[in-house]
Amino acid sequence: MCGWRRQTDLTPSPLLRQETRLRREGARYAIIAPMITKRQLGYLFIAIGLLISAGAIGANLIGGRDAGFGPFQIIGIGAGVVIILMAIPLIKLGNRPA
Amino acid sequence: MKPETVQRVGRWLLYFTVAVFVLYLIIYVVYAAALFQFPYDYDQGEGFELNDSLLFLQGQWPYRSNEVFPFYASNYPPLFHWLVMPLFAIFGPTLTAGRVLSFVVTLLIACLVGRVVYTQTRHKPIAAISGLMVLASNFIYHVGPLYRQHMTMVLFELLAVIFSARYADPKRGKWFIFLSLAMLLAAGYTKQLSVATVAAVLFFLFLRAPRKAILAGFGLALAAGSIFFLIDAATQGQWFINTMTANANAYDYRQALDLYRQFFTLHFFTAALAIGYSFYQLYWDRLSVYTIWFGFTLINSALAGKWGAGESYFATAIVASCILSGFAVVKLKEALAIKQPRTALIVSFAIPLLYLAQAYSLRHLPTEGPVFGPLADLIGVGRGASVYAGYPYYDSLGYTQVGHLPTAEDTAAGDRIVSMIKATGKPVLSEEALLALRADQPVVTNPTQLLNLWNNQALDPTELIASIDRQDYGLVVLRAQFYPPPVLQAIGARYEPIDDILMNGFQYRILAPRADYGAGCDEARFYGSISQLNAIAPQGFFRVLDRDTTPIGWSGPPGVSELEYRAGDTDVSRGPYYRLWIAPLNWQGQPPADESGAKRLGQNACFQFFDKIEDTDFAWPTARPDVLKTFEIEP
Repeated sequence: MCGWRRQTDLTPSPLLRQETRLRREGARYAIIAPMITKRQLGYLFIAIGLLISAGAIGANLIGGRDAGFGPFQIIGIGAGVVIILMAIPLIKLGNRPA
Repeated sequence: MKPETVQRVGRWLLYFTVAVFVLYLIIYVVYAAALFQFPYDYDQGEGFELNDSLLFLQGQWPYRSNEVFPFYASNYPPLFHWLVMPLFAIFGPTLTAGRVLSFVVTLLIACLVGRVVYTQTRHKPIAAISGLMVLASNFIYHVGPLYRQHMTMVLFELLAVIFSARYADPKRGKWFIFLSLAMLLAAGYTKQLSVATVAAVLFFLFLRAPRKAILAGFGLALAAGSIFFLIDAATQGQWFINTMTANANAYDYRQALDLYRQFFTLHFFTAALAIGYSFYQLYWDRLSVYTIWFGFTLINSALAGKWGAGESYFATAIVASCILSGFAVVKLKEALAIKQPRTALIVSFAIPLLYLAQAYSLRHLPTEGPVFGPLADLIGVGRGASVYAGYPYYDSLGYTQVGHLPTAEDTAAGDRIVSMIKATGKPVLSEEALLALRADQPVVTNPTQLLNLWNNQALDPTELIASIDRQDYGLVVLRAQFYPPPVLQAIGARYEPIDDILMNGFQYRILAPRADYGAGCDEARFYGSISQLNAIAPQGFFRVLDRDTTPIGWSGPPGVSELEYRAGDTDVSRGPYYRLWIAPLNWQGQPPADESGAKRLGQNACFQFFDKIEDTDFAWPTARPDVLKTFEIEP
């Protein structure tokens, strides 16, 4: 009788099983998030925008040429700025899934 | 007017819109049927794609050296060429096989677009319009039924996106991801441009399930990379040179901007809806794979600014925009029906009108015949109107070299060129493959491939020019003169125009060997001389180092060409075994005072020669006497 009761006490409830599973899943995704949020997407946009702008500005240095600002660089900086501006509302949207 | 009446009128307008887009489908079928009957290149490059399929059929790779006869290689991956091969059993080894495949593929794409929109919206007329819109697009109409791999790539891309959208299916999610990756792989090995769709699908998976995305990305990279290296190894590195190096072309941002302008002008409604819907999903909803696909491919279309690229680079973005516009229209109608019923009524009326305006902006049709003549009059284009070379074909795009229906006269003109080639009994140097193939001659050269490699300093045209110098070809047929400059120069030196034949709106210049070209001391002979050197070198070959220098140690004006011989040793840090300078007869320079530099060997009828022996003991002990003898050099 006691043994039966003890066994019953140790049997996890469905709720506990679910919690355990979620914890296990959580451990698996400890480094990699289960999904990307709007805020994270916003940060990604900013990173991309900065990269494009920096690439456009630094193109002369990398290319070793000093021909001034060309149309490619203007387009690059413009695109970078637009992407950064698009990111701002995304950051404000917080943890909603992207 | 009662709301029910407005709704009914709106519905009938929508059905009328569907009918208008069905008319575009009929125009597309008529165009395709005309192309199926035309046996020559309609779009430059079709014949080379056929030649690729034929090479595969013979068990050969089309990724080969462009520096040895027949100086031909392909710059496209193989899948499309493989897919055409079974159709040769039905249509024979002709352009029709590939054109039929591409045509069927575009119809499949349209059906899939309609299916995707219907599955999500359950709105039959909008789904039908979305699908038909694909075929109504001027850009897709132009390239749809050609022996080109572009639309097959788009089909694989679309399938990849459709499968990836079902990644979360509780039972078969993993299977759909696998199918999506397989389609991406197929798209990539159909045409390299699909890289944007690969990025879009992986980005979508990354947003929804980052772990799955990373695993999928690794898996795809492993599969694609393995195939890449296997083909590269099987072709001794020619796969990389021909599909990568030869595709790194000059970029003209103005060309890209012009094509973007055309894209937005023609597809103003679908593009606006797709962009609007993309922003809606970005800020108010979750990003779907279709939205991400549209964004990525719209950006990727900027590659249309590359030399040799064109409107076909927008095909994927057009397909994605057709899907998104269908989603957007239904979403708009549903949202307004709940929140603002009166506005919804106006919108249900306005949407078909805007679709009709879109249809009007896309107008393209033949302008002659019992049906199309009156139709051209009806829509204000005018019977017999032409945008290209007098062909009765109108296109709202304006001047375009594709879209018109080729005629029996065009075929007869091609047959005439073929009979001229046959009469020579020798190979032909033709800018279009079909002229050679139909004359039962090998396809010699792929001009744009040679030009791209030449522009990337990855082509040594010595043997090709030497063959022109020897007048190995019965005829030369030029259409666009896409050959590298020294090749064109050599053609001009050894061949002379004998006829100009008009076919498909293009002037084909026929050149025959010149009977008298004087001493022939020119570029052709220069490369011919290098070819002679290569023939006597015991191993390895000569390479042109500089075309405008002076022999080592000599002073004087530049204008001398320097060659080096390495005997197969490519380690540039070790220096060559033998150096040779070839100068024009009138070149004058002062020799070095201490005789440490190059030695003047003498001259022949065309050139002066100088050399410097670095280390020929091992590789070629008789280099100098062999050179003196070969070129009949006298002091």
